[in-house]
Formats: sequence, structure tokens, C-alpha cells
Amino acid sequence: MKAHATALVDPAADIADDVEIGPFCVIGAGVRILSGCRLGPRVWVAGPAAIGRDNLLHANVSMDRSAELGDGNVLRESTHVASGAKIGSRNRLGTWVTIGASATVADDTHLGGFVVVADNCRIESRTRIEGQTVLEPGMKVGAGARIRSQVPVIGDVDPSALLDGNPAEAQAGGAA
Amino acid sequence: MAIHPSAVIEPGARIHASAEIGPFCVVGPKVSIGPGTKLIQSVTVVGRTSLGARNVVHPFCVIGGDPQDLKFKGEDSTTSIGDENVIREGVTINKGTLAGGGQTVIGNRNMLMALAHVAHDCLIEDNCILANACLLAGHVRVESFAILSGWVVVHHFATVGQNAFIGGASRVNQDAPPYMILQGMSGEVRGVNSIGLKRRGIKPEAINCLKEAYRIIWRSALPKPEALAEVEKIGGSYPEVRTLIEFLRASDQGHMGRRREHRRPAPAPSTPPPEPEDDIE
Repeated sequence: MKAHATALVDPAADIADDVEIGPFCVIGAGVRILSGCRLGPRVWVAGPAAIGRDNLLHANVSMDRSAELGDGNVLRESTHVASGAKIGSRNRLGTWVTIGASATVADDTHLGGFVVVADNCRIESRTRIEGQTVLEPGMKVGAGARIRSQVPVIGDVDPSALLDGNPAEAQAGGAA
Repeated sequence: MAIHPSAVIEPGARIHASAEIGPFCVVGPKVSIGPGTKLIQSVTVVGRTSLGARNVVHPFCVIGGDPQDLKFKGEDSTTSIGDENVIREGVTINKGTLAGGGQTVIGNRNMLMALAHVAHDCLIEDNCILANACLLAGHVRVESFAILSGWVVVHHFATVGQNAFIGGASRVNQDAPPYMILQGMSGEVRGVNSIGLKRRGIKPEAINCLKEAYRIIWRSALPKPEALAEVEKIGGSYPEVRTLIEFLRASDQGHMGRRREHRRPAPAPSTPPPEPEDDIE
């Protein structure tokens, strides 16, 4: 582990040798971080939590207890993952994204800045959600769907659908 | 030079003697910070980033971070910020990408309110206001004295004209014409920004002529080229009206109503499957 001198890493955290931890990070007890991960300045990870390989957590990212992260994800500045949320692999989360408690995000999704995924939502693989869109609690977004910016999502989204407008409407032709 | 002992300043950073760096700031090795600029606390400045004179950067900002763009491959691109800007809490400003010109530029005397986001290769001129949680996608240009209200999103490659006013929670999907007020999910033009123009000292006759131009361009049934010719006839003597006409013609020559679309790099033919078109910020 290459931790900056100002980082606070709990002795009970299990962190691979090549993981880089930036200044002022706080890593709690029971946090496991696999190899290839990089944590920017001021990242907070509460324990216990599991973080896979090759993840990039930018400055000010915070993860609550029991959050899980797969491999190869990018979490941009100030993004927050609430307790019990599970994020798969190769996802890209923009700045100030919120992933609510116990929500799941599968693989290869793109979430724009300020996207709010409320508690217990389920986002399937390859979805694209543009900036400032809000998902109400418990919504399910099908694989390959695309949701445009600033759309309030108050119902489940079908796979490969294209959702736009306020109130949200499925657009003809889908996400293709 | 006032640098708080808890700040992390990497070797190589150039910090002017009169700059102030507050507690828990992180300043990378290729950063230069000009005279009188103040990082209040917990500010991160990384990459090849220059801040000019007398800027104030509030807590939790990240300036010069990597672009959120799949075409970015770690190039050493730049972020350059002029003088006397106010950058409020939690603002993120990404550096440029090689394909997009390699630089993100912010001019002078701009106000970026809390949580605003400026993506890669953006150009913000002078005296602009981005209100809270404003979201600029990549390659966006914001001309001088434009005001973007809270929660506005701007599509990548769009241009916001000078002295334009974008209403709260609007989406700017195409170029936003100068001197106009826009509002709504499709960024509809709603009228002339007459209060803003009066404050800027634009002559009342010119403002009246812009109002007439608005009626002809957006409220009559005339096709765009004919409407612009008509506006040129009645108001061509006012520089503001000429600016408006030139702006609209340039936007029409672009693609999808965005004049900066020509900056979009052609997809590389040798790389199947194609990458997604761009970031979605």
C-alpha cells in the first residue's frame, strides 16, 4: 500500500500492496481493496467495504459501510455510495453522483454528473443516464436503456428504452 | 507566501509569494498559482493547471482533474484560469483532451457557484455567471457576460452567446443565441434579455431593435434565412444586431444547431466496435 503520510488507514483494513491512497483519505476497519486501485485526495471509505481491482476513486468520493465495488470502475469527484449499495464492474460515475442505500448498479453503465439513484434502485448493464437525472426509490432500469438529462424517473424503464422529458416519456426508436 | 502546514504541496508547484493556500489543500507538481489567489481549504488542484491573479477558490473544488471522456488516454493537457474568478464550493473543472484542442480555458471575473461542473475543452470567456450545479458537457463555449441559472445542463459542443440568460433547470441542446433569454427542456428562446442589456449599458434603441429581431426570427412564420435578411435590413446598423445575425448564421452552418460540432473528432476507422459518441457528463 502506498498511502500518503496524511492518510488515516485503519490497521484492520486489508489493502493490496500497489494500491495508491491520496492525502487526507480515511479508510475504516474491515475495508478490503484489491490491487491496481487508486484513491485521490480526501476519499472516505467506511468499513466494512469491498473494493475490487483497478478502481479509480477521485477526490472527495465517499463510501458508506457495506458498500461494494467490482473491478475497473471510475468514480468521479465527490460521488457518494450509500451503505449496502453494490456496483459491478467497468462503470463510469460522473461528479456528485449519489447511489442510494442497497441500490445495485450492474456493469458497463455510464452515469452523468449529479445523477441521483435513490435507495433500492436496480440499474442493469450498459445503461446510460445523463446528467441531473433523478431515479425515485426502487426503480428498475433495464439493460441498454438510455435516459436523457434532467429526467425524473418515477417508473421502471424497459430494456433498450430511450427516456426523455418531464414528465418522462419513452421515445420512439429506443436507445439504439 | 501563506501556506498552511497541513496543505500538501508537491515539489515543482509554482506558487506566488502572495498566494494563500489553506488547510488540507492538495497542489500537484505542474500547477502554477498567481499573485493574491486564495485556496480557502480542502481544495485539490492537479494536472498542468495555471490559476492567474486574485482568484478565490472555496472548499472541496477539484481543478484540473482528468477529463470524463473515453477518448482521453492520459495526455498532458492543460487547464488555464485567468484572474479574479470566484469558484465556490465543490466546483469541478476538468483539463482538456488532445482530440478537443488540449485545453480547458476560463477567462477573467467569472463566478462559478457551488457544485458547477466545467468539462474538458470548455471555453468560458469573461464575466460569466454559472449558478449552482450548472453542468457544462465537453467542448462547450460560454461567451462573455452570459448567465446560466441553477441546474442548467449544456450539451457538448454547444455555444452560449454573449449576454444570454438561461433560466433555471433548462437544457441547452443547441447554440443559445446572444442577448436572449432561454428557458425549458429544449432551451426555447423566450425573449430578449433586456434587463441584462440595460445593466450592461446597451443603448435602448439597440435593445428595441433586438426585440423586433426576436419577433421576426422566433415569433413570425418566416423561414430563418429570410427572417435574418429582414432583421439585417431593419437593424444592421447596430453592432448587437449584427452579432446576433452572424451568430445564428454560424449556428445554422454547424451540425444539429451547434457551430462547434466541426470540432468533434472523426471516429477512427480502424477501431471496431465504435466508441460511444462522447461523455455525457
